[in-house]
Amino acid sequence: MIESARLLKPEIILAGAALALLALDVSVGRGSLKRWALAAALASLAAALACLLRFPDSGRAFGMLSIDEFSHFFKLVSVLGAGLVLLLAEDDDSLMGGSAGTFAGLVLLSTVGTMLLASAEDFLILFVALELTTIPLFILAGFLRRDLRSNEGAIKFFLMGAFSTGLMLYGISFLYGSAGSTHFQALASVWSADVPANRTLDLVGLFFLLAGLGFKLTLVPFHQWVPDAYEGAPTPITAFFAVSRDAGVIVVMLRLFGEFVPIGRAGLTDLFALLSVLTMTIGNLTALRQESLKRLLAYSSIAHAGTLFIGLVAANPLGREGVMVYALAYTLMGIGAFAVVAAVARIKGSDSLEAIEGLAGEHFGLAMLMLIFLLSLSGIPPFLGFLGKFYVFAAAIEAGLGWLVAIGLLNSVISVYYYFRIVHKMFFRDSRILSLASPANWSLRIAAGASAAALLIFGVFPHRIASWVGQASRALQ
Amino acid sequence: MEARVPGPRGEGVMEAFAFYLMAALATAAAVLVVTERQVFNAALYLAAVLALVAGLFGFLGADFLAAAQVLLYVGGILVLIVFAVMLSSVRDGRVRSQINAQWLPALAVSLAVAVAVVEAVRRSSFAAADVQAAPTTGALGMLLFNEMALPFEAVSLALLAALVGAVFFSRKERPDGAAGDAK
Repeated sequence: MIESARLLKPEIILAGAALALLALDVSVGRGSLKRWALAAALASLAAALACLLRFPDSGRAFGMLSIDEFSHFFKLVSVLGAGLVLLLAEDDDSLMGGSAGTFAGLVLLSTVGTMLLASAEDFLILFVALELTTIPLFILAGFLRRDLRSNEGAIKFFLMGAFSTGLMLYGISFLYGSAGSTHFQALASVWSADVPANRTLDLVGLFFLLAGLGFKLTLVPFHQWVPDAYEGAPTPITAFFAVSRDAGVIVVMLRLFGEFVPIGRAGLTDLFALLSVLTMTIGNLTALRQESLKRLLAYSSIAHAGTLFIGLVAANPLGREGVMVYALAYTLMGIGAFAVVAAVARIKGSDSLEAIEGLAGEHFGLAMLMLIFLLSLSGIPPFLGFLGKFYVFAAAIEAGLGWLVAIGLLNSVISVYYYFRIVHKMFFRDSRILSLASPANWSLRIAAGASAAALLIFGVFPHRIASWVGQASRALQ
Repeated sequence: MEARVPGPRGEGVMEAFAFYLMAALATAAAVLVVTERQVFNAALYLAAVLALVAGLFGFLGADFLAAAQVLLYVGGILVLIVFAVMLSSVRDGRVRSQINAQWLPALAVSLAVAVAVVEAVRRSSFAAADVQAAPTTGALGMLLFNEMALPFEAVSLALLAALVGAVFFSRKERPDGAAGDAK
């Protein structure tokens, strides 16, 4: 057991820091709290990052977690995402004001949940980790207690989340009843048996499980909560939403469907491909009609979930690598884009599409950063977003799913249209809204600048990340 | 299927009868929780559901779970719900319609799911669990602190987050908008 605990050093560091931060909020006076909370949270994230990089232990912990290079990659992504989000929130008084400890503590707790998800290979820990990662998000979504949009988004997110968790648990109970164990391995023996066993119950269980995870993965038709929750939540939290999806939920699915339940043999390939097509297409088509920057990026986030899902549908090592690259890319460019939106909202007091008009004339640096994020989001080389799309599409072609790639490419074209609508407004229109505040503070600049730099560097020199990802994905069978 | 009710003392007809009776009552009470228009009465039906589920647990040889169910759900959570109902002024429950425009698609989806589930259960064969009428408390305790230590700790973190959220949202706000302490 001590051995197992040793494998979980990064998670334990973050959980400890989260407990300390939550305690800090009640015990220390309000004045100097803000700086300390942010510094402590960032320090614990740095410690976890160092732990992951310096001591990449591998093994099985508690018989439920597989600590390997594959999970390490996603844990790095989630720690990175949490760090960037905390930097974005630094000057936001509604988050880092009176309840800074609560805010930072909840972000860390959610990160711990995501990290556990990245290693989970047992339904019990899958359920608990998923709760640990979403419960803080429910609270963070409603953190602006006086803002009706924040309340509405949080309530919708909470109700849908609770319902989807119920569906998932129901499915897990079927799988448990059929296999007799909550470990993924028990399912593998059900699906690998050469005897044509009756698998109806397992299939129904998998459907429920898929419905539950689909909510968290923001797959169509389980996506209805996304626009309201994304729009209502404080912008740094909006940026944080996608981290648990891209570095947690999709990883569990890769593990379950890659290593234990082959989707081809379960006859789920067509269904998964259909989900991916629906998610990409509906996300993109709805994004075309949005007039709020946050809603537009929310629908584009749904579309990206669909593209990410192609890597899972392909069900080959290349697809796995594609999901890894895409998850890293989306974390950087998603958080980056929302960082600029947060800055614009601060300057103009609005997050409508109108607010970004003429940004290049007033704050050229911000506009250039946004341009980089939008180019990467639309999958244009030489940015990392292109590499992610390239990987998942290549994987789909290798798996003989050419038609899926065709639809994916078509969707990319649609997305280019609405991303470039933003670019057009930034560079070729004049501002019609008076600036209220000074431009963004140092921490937001650092976060957005570092994300943009990473997108460019990894995009121009892809071999480094390609070899890393290739090696890490071999940890799975 | 009737013969395979895993009762603690074998597979007698009486046990099967009692098991199905409790299950049927629990289902009926659960339906009433949803259809009842007065929140207070719905809460009372919920108490019946939870108590009957505790009975089912006892039947399956999960004595600790049955006791915990009664203590926590029937005794604790339900009392809280009743308090909340009595303290809040829920008056318009009677006039509001309990269905909305989506009832037809919802009914179709529910029926389809129900058919799928029933069909799946009918087609499957379940290995009868070997249930001994032995106290499970000690074994559960050992599990929680050995094999299940990790989920146990993780769930405590999740519950802590939920608790922090409850405190955060129920705290009184200072006039300047920042969350302050409840006095």
